[in-house]
Amino acid sequence: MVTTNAIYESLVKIVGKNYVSNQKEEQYFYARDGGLMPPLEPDYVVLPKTTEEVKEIVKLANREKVPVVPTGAGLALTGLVIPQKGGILLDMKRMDRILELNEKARYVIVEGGTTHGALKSYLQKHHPDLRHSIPDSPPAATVVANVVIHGQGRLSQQHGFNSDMVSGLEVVLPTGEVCLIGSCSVSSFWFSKGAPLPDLSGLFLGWFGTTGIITKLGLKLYPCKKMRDVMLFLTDRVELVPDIMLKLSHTEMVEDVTISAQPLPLRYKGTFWIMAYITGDSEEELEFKRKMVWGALWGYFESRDLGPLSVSPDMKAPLMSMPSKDITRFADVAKGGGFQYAGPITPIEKFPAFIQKLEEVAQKYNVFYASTTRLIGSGHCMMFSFSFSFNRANPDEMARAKEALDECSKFALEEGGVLWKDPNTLNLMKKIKQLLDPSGIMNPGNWEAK
Amino acid sequence: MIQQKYVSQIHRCFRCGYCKFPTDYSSFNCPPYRRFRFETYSTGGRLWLIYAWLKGEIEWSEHLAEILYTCTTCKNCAEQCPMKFAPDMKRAGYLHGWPAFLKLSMDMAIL
Repeated sequence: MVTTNAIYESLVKIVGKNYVSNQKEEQYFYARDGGLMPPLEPDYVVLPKTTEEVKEIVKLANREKVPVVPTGAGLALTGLVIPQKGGILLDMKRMDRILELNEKARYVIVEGGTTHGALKSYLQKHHPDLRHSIPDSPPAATVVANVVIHGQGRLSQQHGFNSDMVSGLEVVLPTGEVCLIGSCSVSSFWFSKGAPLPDLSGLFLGWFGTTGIITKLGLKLYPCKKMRDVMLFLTDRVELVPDIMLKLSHTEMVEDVTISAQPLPLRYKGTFWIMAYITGDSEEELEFKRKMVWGALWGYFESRDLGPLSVSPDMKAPLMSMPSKDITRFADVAKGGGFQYAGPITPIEKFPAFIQKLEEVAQKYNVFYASTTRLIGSGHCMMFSFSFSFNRANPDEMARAKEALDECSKFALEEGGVLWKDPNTLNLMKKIKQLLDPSGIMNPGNWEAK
Repeated sequence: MIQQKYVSQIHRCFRCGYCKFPTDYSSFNCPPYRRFRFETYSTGGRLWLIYAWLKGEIEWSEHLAEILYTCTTCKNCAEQCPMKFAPDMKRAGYLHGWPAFLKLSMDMAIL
């Protein structure tokens, strides 16, 4: 075992002294996220630039049994990148290049720290007829971090989780080997993460960075239509929401379906705001899709259980923006810069029960809440968010928000949901983790199969 | 107490990172963040560190001073921040006369 100073010197040798810190200020900042988990400091914060540097860092960590925690923007908010046992925190955002785009096969290859904001901007500027499934998180969220937590985005209604849209990986394994996953392992093209080969991407996607460090990622791109619009519907009949979601999905005309519920302003309380996004290359195409959507919901209009809402330009702008700053503004509802949510993946029929629970828990613990639900994969499931905003300067409010979140998470599991960030305990997962990470250096203590 | 006025606002930074981007998100354009690439050199980093210092969780240090004083006062963060508190903090800093180094740090961090 080398001394900690020797580890620091080794890290300096790998990435250069400007990109390693063992100073209190960096340790303090990277010990925290915007959520409710208690802080724990890394020993070193390291900013690698290349796959080779990541490889050398992992080899060093593996040799010295030092934990390694890769992080993007730290926006998962559930302590996933808070180093539970110290060690090396790898801030991946210097690896931010967009390496290749194949227009005909509709995929892009990005480095492991590329942000969604940068990719969106690049596509708009250079390939305006292509787009990717941008999540609702701020633009600093990285593409890789989003897929390793099975995030969802603006194209998830049509194409599933964002991780379903991965088309290849380059991964540094916990033992330091570099592996290519998918078609890129046998071809120069990154069009498939699996088929027709065995799909080994499942060893890394959804593992929250605990089985390897993704240094390059292939991502599927989709047609970007010239025009886009949102249709807004309002109901106070919570029990009808699942059927409304299904009817919208059945049209196969909507790109994205989300449902918002929040108690403030008061006029919102008890109502559910259903947003259906449509796209087209012409006004005729958009109008056709509008008619299809209206036709699917007409019965509810007639029974007055559902109403269309006229959307003013002021209202439409934030609804149309990608990403939307409103998500960040929710973090300030409690005037305190704190926000955490549980986002269970669950059948859409559970929507009424989940809403009821959210309202009960918010009242019980006296916390600010909101919920946004997104339809995923043509109605196969939904992501339902139990979201709580709290004041970081008020320990009592933070404790109540934590209790509320824990109770909602427990409820979601009991109802058959699968928590987005839950320490599940499957024996198979444990075996796979041990096989890939024999020294147990990858984010130990965090999201482990126990 | 003016310090309390700042303390009651400064923790409201969610460190969402909008402050590091231009409007089209094409690249990071916060000058010190772009140069140093540690999150501590972004506006969110400065705010969290100042809050920690005010609470006594970290000591004043040469490195902390370096982080705070590398701000170029370009005001990109004030343009991009989704929150509404930045102007309040700026005004408070000017009107109530903090100790010079803290006032400057705050102005730099926010502006």
